[in-house]
Amino acid sequence: MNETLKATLQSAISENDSHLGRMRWSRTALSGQFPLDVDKLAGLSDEERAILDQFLYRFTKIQDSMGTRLLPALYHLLEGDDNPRPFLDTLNRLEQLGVVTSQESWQKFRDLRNTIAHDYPETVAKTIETINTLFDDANEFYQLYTTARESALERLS
Amino acid sequence: MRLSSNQRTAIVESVRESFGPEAKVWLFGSRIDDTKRGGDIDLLVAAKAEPGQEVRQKLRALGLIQRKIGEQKIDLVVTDGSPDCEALLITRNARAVGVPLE
Repeated sequence: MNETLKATLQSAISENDSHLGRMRWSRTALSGQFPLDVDKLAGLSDEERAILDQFLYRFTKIQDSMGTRLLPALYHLLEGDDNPRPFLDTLNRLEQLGVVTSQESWQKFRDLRNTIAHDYPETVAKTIETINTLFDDANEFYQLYTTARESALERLS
Repeated sequence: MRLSSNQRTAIVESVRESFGPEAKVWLFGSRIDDTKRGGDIDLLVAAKAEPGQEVRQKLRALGLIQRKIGEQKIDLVVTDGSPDCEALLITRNARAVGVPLE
């Protein structure tokens, strides 16, 4: 195997495992506060706010890293092709290969990430709804990452 | 405006499939300026979302649009007509300069 590709995959997995661990920990630590509402959000302590920030930050980090490093490197490895191509085509193929659980699921979390990092300020109610959606669907996201991670580890062993 | 007829149709269909047939869509931002190039697709959607479901409806609309027109940077702002939503600067701007998509 191409050593650079191998190093990219190993480094992406190591980075994302760390993010995933912190994301899961922060979700568990805050589980008593969910579903959030305006009053609960206002009542969070500084420490709980920091944990909530961590939950969102670690999610966006894994999402970005999967899109820019893990999935492109896996595609390159499996298809022997590193030519630039539309990301949706890459996703389609990775779904066929069983690396991505579903393209719809990927797209949903991509758009959720973009909403969290949104350019426009939203109402507090909408921000809370976005956070609740990520909290509710977190297991689906773990599955998305874990499936890609297992595919990468199979090829690295 | 710098959206093709197919793109406009794809956007309107996807938004109505997600938010209901009464939903209305406006294009605003740099894409309404014919002298510019590229740029995000900024959309304002006016719809009565199901309570607690607006984010899911928005994610669904974005997924459908991107499946039809390819991955693009799309910012979709939703207003349910409430004073909170309508007071946001972005909603006011979109309503003032936006071009309705039919």
